[in-house]
Amino acid sequence: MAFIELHNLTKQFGPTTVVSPLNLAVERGEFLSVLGPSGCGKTTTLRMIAGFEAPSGGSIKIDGNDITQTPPSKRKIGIVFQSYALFPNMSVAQNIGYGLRIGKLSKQAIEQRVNEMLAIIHMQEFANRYPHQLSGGQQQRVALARALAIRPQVLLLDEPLSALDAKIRVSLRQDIRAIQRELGITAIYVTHDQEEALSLSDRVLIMQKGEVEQLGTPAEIYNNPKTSFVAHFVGTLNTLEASLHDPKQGILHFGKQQFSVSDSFDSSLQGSKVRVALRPERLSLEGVAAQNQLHGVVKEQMLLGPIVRFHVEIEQQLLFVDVFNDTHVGNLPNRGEAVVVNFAPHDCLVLEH
Amino acid sequence: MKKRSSLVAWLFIIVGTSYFLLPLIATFLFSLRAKKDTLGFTAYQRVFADSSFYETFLFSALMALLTIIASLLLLVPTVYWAYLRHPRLHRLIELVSLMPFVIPPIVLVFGLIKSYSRSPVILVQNRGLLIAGYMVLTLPYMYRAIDAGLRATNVKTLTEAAQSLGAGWPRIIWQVIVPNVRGALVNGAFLTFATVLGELTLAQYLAWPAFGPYLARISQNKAYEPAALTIISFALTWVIFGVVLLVNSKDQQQTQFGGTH
Repeated sequence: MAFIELHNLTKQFGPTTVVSPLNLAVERGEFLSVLGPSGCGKTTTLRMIAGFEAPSGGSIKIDGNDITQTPPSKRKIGIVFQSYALFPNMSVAQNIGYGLRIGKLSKQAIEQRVNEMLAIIHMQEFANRYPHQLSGGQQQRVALARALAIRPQVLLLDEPLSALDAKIRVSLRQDIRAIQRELGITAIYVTHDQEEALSLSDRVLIMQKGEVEQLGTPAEIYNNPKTSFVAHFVGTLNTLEASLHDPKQGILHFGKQQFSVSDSFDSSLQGSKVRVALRPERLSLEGVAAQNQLHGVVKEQMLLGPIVRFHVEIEQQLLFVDVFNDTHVGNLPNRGEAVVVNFAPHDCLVLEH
Repeated sequence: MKKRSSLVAWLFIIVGTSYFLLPLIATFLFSLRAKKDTLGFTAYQRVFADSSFYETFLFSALMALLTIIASLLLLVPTVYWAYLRHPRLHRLIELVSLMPFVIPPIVLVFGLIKSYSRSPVILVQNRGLLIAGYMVLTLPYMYRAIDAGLRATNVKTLTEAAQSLGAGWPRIIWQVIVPNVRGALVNGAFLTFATVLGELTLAQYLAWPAFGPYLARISQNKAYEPAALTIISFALTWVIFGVVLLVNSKDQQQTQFGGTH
C-alpha cells in the first residue's frame, strides 16, 4: 500500500473540469514533482491534498487513513508557498515555533525544535529577525523550516522557488532535496520548471488540462516521452512527421530522404503518417557516420554556453542540433554550409499522439 | 520656468495654510478674551470647571469605545470571511457601507425610534440602540479601514499557512490576521472615536447626555466657551491623529515584505 493514495480525485469549478479523475500512489519518503503548464491542474491537486479545496469526487488517503473530509488544520501536512507566507508580525524563531505552540509543546521542547530547524537551514543567527529583514531565499528557508518543524506526514511545496532569482533557485533546490532526504519525508513538489522537476525528483508527474500525461522517473520522462506534449514540454525537441515506407523494418520517408527507427509497425500501416521525436543532443554533424543520415544546410548557429545549437534545414524543416562548445574541436560548420545530420535508429522516439 | 512654478506652489501653500489656520487663530484669540481688556484662559477654566463637560465627554468617550469594540467584533470576521470565501460579496458590502453617506442621521434616528419604541422590542432607552446607531454611522470609516488593511495583507495565503500548522479560526484571526492589520484597525477606531465624540443627531433625539448635544447647548447660550471648546476639540483630534501616525509608522516597519535578493 502506498503512503499517499489519490483515488479518482476530481475537481470541477462550475462547468469546468480542472482535475479529471486522478489516480496516484506516492511511496513513503518519495519526492514526486508535479510538472505542467499554467492551468493544468497541478496546484489544484496540491490544494486538494492540503485540504484547501474540497474535491468534487474521489478520495485522498495518507498512510491508509482517508483524509478527504479532514480539515486542513488536522491533516499534519507541511506546506511551503510560492509567496513564503511568513507571518510578518512574528520573528523567524516565532514563525518556526508557531505550529509547535499550537501543538502545546513545552517551552523547552519548542525552543529545542526551533534551534534544530534553524541549524538545518543554517540560519541560527537570524532567529530574532523579522521576515522583512530577510532576503527572498532566506524567507523561503524559514518557510521550509516552519513547515517541517511540526514533523508533518507529508511536505507539499507549491512552486516555492518561482519568486527567487536563478542562482538562489539552484542552491535552494539542492538544499530542499538534501533536507528531504535527511528527514526521509514524503514530498510533493509542484512546479512549471522542468529543470527543477527533473533534477530534484524520484518521479515526475506531467499534467495537462487536468489529466495525467505521463508518470515516471526523470530519465523515463526525458528519454522516453510517451506523448507529443511531454516530449515538447520537457527539454528541447525536434519533431518530424514522416510516412511509413516499410513498417516491418521501421523505415520512414521524410521528404525525399529516408531514415529508420528501432520500432516495427503493423504492415497495414504502410503509407500512414508517424510523428518521430529527436533530441538535439542525440544528433551529430560529424564523427562516425551513423545508420541514419539526413542532408541539410546550416541556417543559424547559436552559442548557448556549454553547447552550440545549429539550426539545420532539412526538407524545408528546421532541426536543432546541439554540439558541445569545445574549442579544441574546431571546424564547426558555418551558416549556409551543407551538412550531414547523423543519428541512430534508437534515438528516434515514435510518439503515441 | 522652474523658479516660477516653485513660486506658484508656495503661493498655493500659503493660501491653503492661511485658509485653514486663520479662522483657528482667530477662534483661539477670541477664546482668550472672556475677561474684558485682558487675554487669558478664563473661558477654558470655565469649561473645565463645568461638570457637564466631563460627564458628557466621558459618556461619549465610553460610547465611542463600545462602538469601536462592537464594530471590530462584527466587521473584522465579516470582511475577513468575505475576502476568504466570498470575494464577490465585496461590492455588496461596500455598497451597504456607503448608505450612511446617503441616508441622513435624522432619518436613521427617526427610523430607530419608530421601530424600537413599541412592543415587541422596546429599546429606545437602551444604550445598545445608541451604540448600534453609531455603528451604522461609522460603518464607512471602519469598513474601509479594515478593507484597506486586509487588501494590503496576503490574507488567503497567511490563513492557509496558519491552517496547515494546525491553527483554528479564532487563533488565525487573533494571532495572524489582527496583528497584521493593526494599523488599519487603529485608523478605523480613531475615525470612529472622533465621529462619535462630536455626533449630535442620534444622541439628541435618543435623549442621551452626550458631548455633541453639550457642545450645541453651550454654543447657543455662551460666547467665549464655544470657542474654547472648538480649540479643545481640535487639540484632541490632533492628538488622536498623532497617535494614528505613530502606530502606523511602527506598523509599516514590521509588515514590509522582503523581495527577491
